Amino acid sequence: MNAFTLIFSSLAVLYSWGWWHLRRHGRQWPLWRTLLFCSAAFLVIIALSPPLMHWSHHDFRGHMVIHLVAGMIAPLGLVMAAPISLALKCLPSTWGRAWVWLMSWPLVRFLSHPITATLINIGGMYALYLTDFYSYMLHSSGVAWWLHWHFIIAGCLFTWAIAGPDPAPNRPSLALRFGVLFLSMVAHATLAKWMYRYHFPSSLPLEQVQQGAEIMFYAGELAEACLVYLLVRQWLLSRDVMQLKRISD
Amino acid sequence: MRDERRPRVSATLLAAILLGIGFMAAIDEIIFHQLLAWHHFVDVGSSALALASDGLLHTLELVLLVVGGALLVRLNETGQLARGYLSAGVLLGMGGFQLFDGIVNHKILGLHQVRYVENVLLYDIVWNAFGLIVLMGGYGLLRRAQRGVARS
Repeated sequence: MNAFTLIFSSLAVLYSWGWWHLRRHGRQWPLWRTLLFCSAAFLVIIALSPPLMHWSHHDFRGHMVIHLVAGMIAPLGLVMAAPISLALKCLPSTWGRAWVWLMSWPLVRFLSHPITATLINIGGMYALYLTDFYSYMLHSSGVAWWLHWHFIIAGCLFTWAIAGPDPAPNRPSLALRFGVLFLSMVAHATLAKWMYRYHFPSSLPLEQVQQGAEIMFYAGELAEACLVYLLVRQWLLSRDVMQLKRISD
Repeated sequence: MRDERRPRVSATLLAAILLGIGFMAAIDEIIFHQLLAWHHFVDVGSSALALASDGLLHTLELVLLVVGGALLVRLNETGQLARGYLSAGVLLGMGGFQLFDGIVNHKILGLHQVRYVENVLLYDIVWNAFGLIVLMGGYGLLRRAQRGVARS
């Protein structure tokens, strides 16, 4: 039991309440999204449970598994469940205007831009693994704590900026988002290979680093493949909608 | 107005070729890297740049696999899948990729070899011959599909 358990179980309860609330008022919200959100929240809770955190602190492979689950796989579920859309459906319409107002803030627009989100996400990994920051983190529980949040938040931000289903004014074009996703995948794969070849983080045993880098490479690309599929799917559907529009015009 | 539910040959072929490329790359990765361990995840001598280009090619293969799959799913949903061309496209992609991997990745870029042994030439010949056979098989299926369309 820790703060992650508390926060993510509350979020799951809140989401389920939203689903139930809409149902009761005769409005629809897909059950699969609810299940998706709850299982993703459950994944975070498991990944950041004390025994697994303890393992990750002593073993780089453990760190990698936790990072993949909390930073790549769980965010897919959390973001694709469209929590903001659900919240806006449950709340009065003034909240919708507030959301649009918030999203058009220059700072929020900057942070939620795919390029910024990628730099925070992948750039954070380069900074963590290629410098001494990793060993510094191991010796400071406060930094370790913050790092777990960084993985979750940066992962959600990235997934949301690339393929999020929630409404956002001024979302960049699909082509730009696809290009950014592609480059981020190359950067992720290259970082894993560099870590394997040049032994980064250098303060850890080589065997752990190499196995961790392989986990990062292969499991990471599964989550990335899901993102590619979702984005291509959005593109194909929007193309077909445009075609129908042209025909009816 | 174009008939929306008519099979689209070139779109099917393109999607199937993309899928074939990604599929062959995935097979190579699983058999030769993971099961046989003939290739290495990273070669001892490779430079940072070679590794980055390896990361680029690998990502490209993965993206082609997923994009090809997504295109085929959508074509199938809208009834535009030209079924006869599906296997032809997949084989063309697979054989083409095998040849590309054997010639460009192994020989020109030197990212890795098929196997780290004395007579690597033998392995290269078998590798590329296999690619050529699959490519020709794909071409044969393509001709057959075209003849089938012409007859009906």
